[in-house]
Amino acid sequence: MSNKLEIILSQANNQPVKLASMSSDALDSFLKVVSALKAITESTINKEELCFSIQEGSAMCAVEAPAQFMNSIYEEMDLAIQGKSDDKEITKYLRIIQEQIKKESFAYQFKYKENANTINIDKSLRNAKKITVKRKTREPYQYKLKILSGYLNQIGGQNPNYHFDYGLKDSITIDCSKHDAMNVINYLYQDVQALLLTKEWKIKDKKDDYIHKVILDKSLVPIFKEFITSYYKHEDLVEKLTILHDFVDEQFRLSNDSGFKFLKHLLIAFNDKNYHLSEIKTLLIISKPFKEKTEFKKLRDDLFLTYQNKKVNV
Amino acid sequence: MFEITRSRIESDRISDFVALGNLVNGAVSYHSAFIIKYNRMIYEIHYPGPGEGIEIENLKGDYFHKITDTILPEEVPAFIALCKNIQKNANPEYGFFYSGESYDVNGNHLSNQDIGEVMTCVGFCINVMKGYHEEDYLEFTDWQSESQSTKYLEEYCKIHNLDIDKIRAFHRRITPREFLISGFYNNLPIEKKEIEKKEPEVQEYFETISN
Repeated sequence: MSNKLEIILSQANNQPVKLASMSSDALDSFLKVVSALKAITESTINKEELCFSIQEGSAMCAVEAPAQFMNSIYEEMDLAIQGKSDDKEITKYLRIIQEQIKKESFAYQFKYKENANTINIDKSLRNAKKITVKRKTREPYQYKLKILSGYLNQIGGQNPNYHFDYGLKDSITIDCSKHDAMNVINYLYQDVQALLLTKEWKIKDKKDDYIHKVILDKSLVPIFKEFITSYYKHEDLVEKLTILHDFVDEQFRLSNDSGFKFLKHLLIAFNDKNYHLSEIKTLLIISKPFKEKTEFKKLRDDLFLTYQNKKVNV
Repeated sequence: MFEITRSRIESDRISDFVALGNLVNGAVSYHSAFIIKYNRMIYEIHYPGPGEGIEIENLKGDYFHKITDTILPEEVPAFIALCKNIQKNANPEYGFFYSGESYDVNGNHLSNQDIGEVMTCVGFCINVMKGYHEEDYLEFTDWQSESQSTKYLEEYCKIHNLDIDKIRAFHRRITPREFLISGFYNNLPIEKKEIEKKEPEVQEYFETISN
């Protein structure tokens, strides 16, 4: 069962269009539309599933693919016409088609065919506002893991926190739990490397917020930094999680000791409700074989609690 | 509503999902796979048989599936990442895959050990579910009796030219059909008697559509 998208250029400058003899303007426009149609379908569907044809009888280009793939493209185009699509590829190429369809010198038809139904897209595309990608309503901040070093010169308070002092009145404040504070106090008046969850504000002049996770042994810092950089380089969550799996695998491959050390820190680092549920779940999956191991049990139980609370609220 | 869907025509569902899929011949289920919707695309993840690796690809087969409620839409990325990790560490040459739990308690990667488990398509699916969930996915002890028909296993060994006695030791005698039906239940571990309750209804469904 396959569905079809069809674009027909029937007239240019009030003259009927034939594939056998096209004006340069008509060919230009037709080629733009055809390559945009190709790009739209290839953005979602594997090339081997697609079948293109160019036919006489005006100038017509059609593309066929299995129904369920075609349907998801049609639905996304429909959203794009309503200005609601956040798909960069589809909106970009649909805009190119729209520009050509809107030109009064050309008469275009754009159809979606499923079973016996034909839906005309050209009319709604002509009437729609310029197709633009809908910006995701982004939070004005994002949470990221970060490693910062500094001179620890103050700790305590009713809402516990500690300070890194950089001199010249430049310092940062890091929030922590009472329990953390009792541990961190051992590093007072020393240079330390801290793994932090940072709330990075995108608002100008608004200072980032920091939540304490782990004081790191110096020897672990370069490896952790490399992991964090590659983790945040990717936007797609599956790719990120694959990096997380690979990172732990690599540490265990080097030595069991190294694997356990990093995994322990990760269980703490990812224990926060501001992570995606899949990030927390992935660490639970990776650490599952060690759930009864004494030095892991409490850390993993705490992470599991965060997971369960988050699950109820998604 | 009866919730088994032909995967090819599953196009109206908006949220991501993990489903348990079957390929059928007439009314007989002969292969199992995960059918996954993620970011508008539908994928199949399965183990075709010895000598071949685990495949993660766009939906190709004519599967029937039941969505499992044991995995939330927000958890689909974690599930796919687990499958990719199993794929990476698999050793298909010997038909060995670790059971979704990648390490022993001492941190040794299970793929490095030679206590391989000879795997079937169902074995792969069950093991992924076992590795994914905190609890056991199935009440495995329910399947240890000899009462289960081994017809499926005989067929499987014939097709893949395997020695049935080698496989028997690892095979838990869970059929692709039972795996599909497990998708109707959320309370883990799922008991065999629950699955048996649903079996006639599902059999009738496949008989109706195969006529």
